[in-house]
Amino acid sequence: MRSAFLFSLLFTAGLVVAKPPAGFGTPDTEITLGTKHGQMRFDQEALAVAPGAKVKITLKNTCEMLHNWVLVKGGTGERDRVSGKALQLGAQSMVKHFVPDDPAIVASSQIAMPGNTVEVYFVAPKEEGDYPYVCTLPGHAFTMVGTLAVSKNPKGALDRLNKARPQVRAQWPLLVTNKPLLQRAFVQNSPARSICVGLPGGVNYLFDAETCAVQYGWTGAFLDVGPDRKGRGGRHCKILGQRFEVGAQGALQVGDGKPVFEGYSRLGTPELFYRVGNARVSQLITLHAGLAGGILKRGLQYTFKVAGAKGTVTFKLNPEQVLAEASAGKWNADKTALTLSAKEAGEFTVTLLPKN
Amino acid sequence: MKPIQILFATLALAMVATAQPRNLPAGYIVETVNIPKEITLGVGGMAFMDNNILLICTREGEVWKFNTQDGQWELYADGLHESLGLWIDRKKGDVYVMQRPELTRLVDTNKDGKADLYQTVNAGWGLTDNYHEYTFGPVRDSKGNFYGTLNTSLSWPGWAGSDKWDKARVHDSKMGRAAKYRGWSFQITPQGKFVPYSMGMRSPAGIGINGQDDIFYTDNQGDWNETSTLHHVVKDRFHGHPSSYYDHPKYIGKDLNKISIEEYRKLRTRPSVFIPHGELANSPGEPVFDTTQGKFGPFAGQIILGDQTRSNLMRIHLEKVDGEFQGMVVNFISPLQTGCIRGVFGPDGSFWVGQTGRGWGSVGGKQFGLERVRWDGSTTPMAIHHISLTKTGFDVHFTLPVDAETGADPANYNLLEYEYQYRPQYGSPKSQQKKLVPTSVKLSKDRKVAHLTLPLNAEKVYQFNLSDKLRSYAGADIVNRVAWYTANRLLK
Repeated sequence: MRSAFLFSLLFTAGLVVAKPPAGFGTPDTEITLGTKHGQMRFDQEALAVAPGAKVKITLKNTCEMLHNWVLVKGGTGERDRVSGKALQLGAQSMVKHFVPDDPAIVASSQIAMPGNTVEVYFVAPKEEGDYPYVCTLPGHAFTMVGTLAVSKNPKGALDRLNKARPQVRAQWPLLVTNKPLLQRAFVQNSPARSICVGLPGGVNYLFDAETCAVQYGWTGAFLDVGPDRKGRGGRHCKILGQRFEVGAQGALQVGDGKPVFEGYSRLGTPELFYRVGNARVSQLITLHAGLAGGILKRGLQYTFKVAGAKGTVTFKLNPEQVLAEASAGKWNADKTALTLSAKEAGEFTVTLLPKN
Repeated sequence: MKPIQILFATLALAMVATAQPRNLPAGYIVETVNIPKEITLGVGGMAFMDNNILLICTREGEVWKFNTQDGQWELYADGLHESLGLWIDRKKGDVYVMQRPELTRLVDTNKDGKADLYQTVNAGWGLTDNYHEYTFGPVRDSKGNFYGTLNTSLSWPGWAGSDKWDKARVHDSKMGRAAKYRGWSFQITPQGKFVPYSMGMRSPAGIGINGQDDIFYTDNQGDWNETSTLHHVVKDRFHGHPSSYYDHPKYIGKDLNKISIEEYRKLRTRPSVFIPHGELANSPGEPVFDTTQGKFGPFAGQIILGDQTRSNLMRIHLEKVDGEFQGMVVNFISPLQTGCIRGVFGPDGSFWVGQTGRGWGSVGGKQFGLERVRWDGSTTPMAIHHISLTKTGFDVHFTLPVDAETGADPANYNLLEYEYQYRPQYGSPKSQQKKLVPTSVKLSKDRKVAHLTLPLNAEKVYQFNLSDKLRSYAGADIVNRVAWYTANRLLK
């Protein structure tokens, strides 16, 4: 839906093809950068050029989503700040190709449409160092990242970057590409009836089928199931990324009904089903990206559908852990509970961004 | 995950009859399925979806469709938590799979050949993150009830590595109960209700049912279990491992250590068949009733039972004595390529063996596998068909007439009478051993039955060691010449 909206905007805005700036001359270095289909990744995550080199980057978008390329100075913190700023462009987003005005930006491309190519011409900084690059389209900035080294010895710098790249150290990693993965497993310090779900875009969560509530999320790679599949198995699987809290305070409350798990659908993004008293609940959990304290963060969005509730429905959470917003209902004063009428609970969303 | 589809040109390429097992009755052939290298197939359960498609669930939590005709593999479901059993409603097309945390119905709502709806049927039992809390099953009776069995928890901190599971260990045994209904069998009614059914199980890795709704499970040797065993599941029965009393309504809050071993012994129902540990089985799997009515050879109605460690197949013949099942166990085929934990008869009467060797070690050494045992449809092997109790001794039934002279010589029937000790320690040695030779042996007219006369005692195991002089009328050797009969009861 969102991408359809972007498409129409883009076509009305028109497409400007970048040309080398007047007097740029012949580039010293030409790099073709691709996108990995369905994986929300650049095909190269380490690049290197000489200081002051005239660089031409060709971004070849072989994926069905829109992408751009933004080079930033000042480290990954600046990269995330700039990515957050890109989300606040509002109506200007498409016109500005999701590139905000910011002194940290060294170079940036226009949006590359699916199957299309865009070019960026820039002069590399004189100062040696590592410069992060990123795609600033919404939700892409977590995984579509890389580092461009500016070095007098570009080959050596490239080797260094490639060696330093974090490797997934796992016995039996389950890695998410363009489809969500779901795995029931024992995970350290988690309930025995855990359901782990990895979503494209690098957000994962753990749902407890006993209490019918998400326990926590994590960003990055999904799950190492080696401890369950090597030797006798039965040991704790490991989450491979950075855990974040979701303010979990149990399942939706409908009267004093006890939640009973009923299963899930795996048509597309997993949709979880449970019963609370007489009410039937479906909970679709998707990636949510937004700003927390000006920094772009990944969190979760819950889309609840509650059928058959007799009275009000309450969603509880710990507001110290998350920034929460709801599409319906009423928060109490300290924002620990969202109360909805049975009608409002028919379908509503709650978005959660971790504060940690 | 993308379904892996590997098309073999012919079944001959998908199935290979490699080196045959050492102990193989004449007329039987073992074939090994080539499994694509992308698949890890630690078999947990098997069932036929239709005449061609064998559905296999795995310890790795996947469900695979194996086309037995063209050798294609296709992923049907994944992401399950250690799926150890399958049951298919062939009329409705629903697949039921037992996972550690629940019994699940898998539904292919969009008919693309892959399950997309995973419905929880029941999750009424307790579960912690203790690695030993396996869930086995299901079988289903004619009334539509499902049955499964729940492993005890590994509770001794010395083995479990933590005292958080150290609950309900009785008389210092190793296994206990860290969550509700560990060590119980359970029933799930057609309405989806959980009913605790019988109790006293230790490692009940295999459950089977016959055409009369008689349910049996196998247990592994260990604390409170003398040796590997086969038990008849009856509601409210206590099978022997006392930790499960923790959840018995009449015992809640009681100190199970204050009940003596002797009292537990009186409370328990003895196993239908003792399966000698080390000699025949170390960790038996699923008991599968031969329902092929002769398509699989001369052993129709018997149980075919595999063993995970020894990688062999055994045969069990049951009979009712004084209202209770007991009977004979004998080796059948050994060894196969790795641990035999699951079995299913195909529509053509061949027996498919689901295998896993990971974690405990198995004779054969492979990590997992799938094999098929076929009977050629004509050859009758010379074998002990079964042994049954008489008022004056035993009848040894052969598949073929035995040689008239050697078959009637009591010296060719060496017996050992012995007992096991029911105790909280791990396993039991044989005790009260007594060598016996029948006082007389008479052959039936067709020479297929030897009537042995000897003094009998209840609650004993009789081991039959047939001499290698004993042969068929045509000189054929008996492939497996040691059999055991569990005589819990005597004929009145």
